[in-house]
Amino acid sequence: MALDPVLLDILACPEDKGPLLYFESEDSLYNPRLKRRYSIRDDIPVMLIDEAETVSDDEHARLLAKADAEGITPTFEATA
Amino acid sequence: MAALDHAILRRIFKAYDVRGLVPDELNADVARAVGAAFARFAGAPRVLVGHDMRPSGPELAAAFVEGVTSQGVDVVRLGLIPTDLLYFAAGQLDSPGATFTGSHNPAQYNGIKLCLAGAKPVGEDTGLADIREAVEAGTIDGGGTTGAVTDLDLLDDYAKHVRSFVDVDALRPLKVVADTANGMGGLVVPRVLAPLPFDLDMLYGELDGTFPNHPADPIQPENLKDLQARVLEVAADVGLAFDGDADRVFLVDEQAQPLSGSTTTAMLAASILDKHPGQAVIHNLICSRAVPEIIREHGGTPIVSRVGHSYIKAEMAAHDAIFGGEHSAHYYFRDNYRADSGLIAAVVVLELMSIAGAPLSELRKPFERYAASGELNTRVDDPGAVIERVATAFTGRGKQNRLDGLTVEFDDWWFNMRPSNTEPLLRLNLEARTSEECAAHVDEVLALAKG
Repeated sequence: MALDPVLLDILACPEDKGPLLYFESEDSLYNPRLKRRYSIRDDIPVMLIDEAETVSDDEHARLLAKADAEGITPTFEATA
Repeated sequence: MAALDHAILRRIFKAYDVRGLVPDELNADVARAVGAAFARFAGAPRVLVGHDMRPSGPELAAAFVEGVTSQGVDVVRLGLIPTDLLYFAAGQLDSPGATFTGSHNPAQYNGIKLCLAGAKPVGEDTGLADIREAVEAGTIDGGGTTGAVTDLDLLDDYAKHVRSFVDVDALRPLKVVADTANGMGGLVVPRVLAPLPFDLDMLYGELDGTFPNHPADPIQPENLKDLQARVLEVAADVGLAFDGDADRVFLVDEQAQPLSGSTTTAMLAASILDKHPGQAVIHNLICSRAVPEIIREHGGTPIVSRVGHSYIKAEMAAHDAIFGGEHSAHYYFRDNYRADSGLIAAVVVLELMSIAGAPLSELRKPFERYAASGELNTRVDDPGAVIERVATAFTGRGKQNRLDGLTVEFDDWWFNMRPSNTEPLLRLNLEARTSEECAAHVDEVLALAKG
């Protein structure tokens, strides 16, 4: 099930507070700046730094390519 | 806007929240000013706002929202929520938040609980005093822009999150009575438990902030009577009593005997440590000495904290503790953004009972090792002076520490005496091997306290 658009609009990385990429088919939210992935378990985003996974460079490249190919955009516009 | 009465503001800003009589002490003007000051203080692009079922909730929350948006800060309205849902939302959305709740206080009261992004506490020393000073200083000018308001219903998400703390397949069809005292538990308890195999019997599940049945304060024994009677009447396995905003839960066993916060803390710690070995667990210094013993026996590291949620949360963060418990029935979970939740505590106990397959009256026995006085309040003019007098009297006897008030420990008994934050009261907690020894030591310590 897709996440609520209002929720998606405001989900941020708890570490750098920046936007995330939502991979609906992989049940995850990804922060490309820190290469950190947050899982979505049973439709609930687990936004805990302790539970996040740091991905390899290869996985990072795959996720960015997938976001590009599928038109996945960040959860919100980062403000300066 | 009329200037707000500083004496009233000082009265309603407590150590951990704002609480006052509606409308004389807490009204839309106060809520609007606190909203503006909190938006400034939190410094985030958005603030989450909810309220409980008290009749004044919608009006006060709406005024608070106006205050926040006047500062150019957006608001996400969470609607009607239990307090633990605010902490969950503030953690998951990494945003500061506020909810209007009078918690366990009578119907004429309402209040505001605030937290920062990540569900970090806002107490007197961590922002509440600054917010009060900003409110006292008068109307805060807005930045010219008005923040946007959106609505988000997280109740189902929260219910799933609560269930994620247990192995659903391990649960058995227990008969559960829940007395939610016409408070927020009436909304959230059925939502959490409905998909689980329990036979749920709700007592006073209708949301009604006038509390037509009994006050929503289950720490008072008289407020447990209806639940106890119902547990016996329907031969339930367990009774759950929630306070008005459902962040605290009290348990009664199948014989209608209440479990203390210490016993529940110890049971939760044991269950969580069995799943996650080797972790740190925080308990406050009023908890039974059985609590650290049991944490050690289950391979955990017990860490003692002062009483109060900001201390517990700070210790949990410092030690990356998986769980924390207080004698007052506040239970904190690391994977709940370190916030307390009565609902998570309830499902973890139901899982523990399911796995053990024994009645709660049996399960509790290994966790109850000492006789406790309970919290005994004594009215005195100068609590600080009394504590010094008692400390002097015990010089050379037992081991003293001053983590919170005065604690004196002996091999077979101990006591703690600490002042109330808000009233000229001394709070005494004492524990000994037997109830006779406990009563004798209580007399001894109270005699010294009275001089």
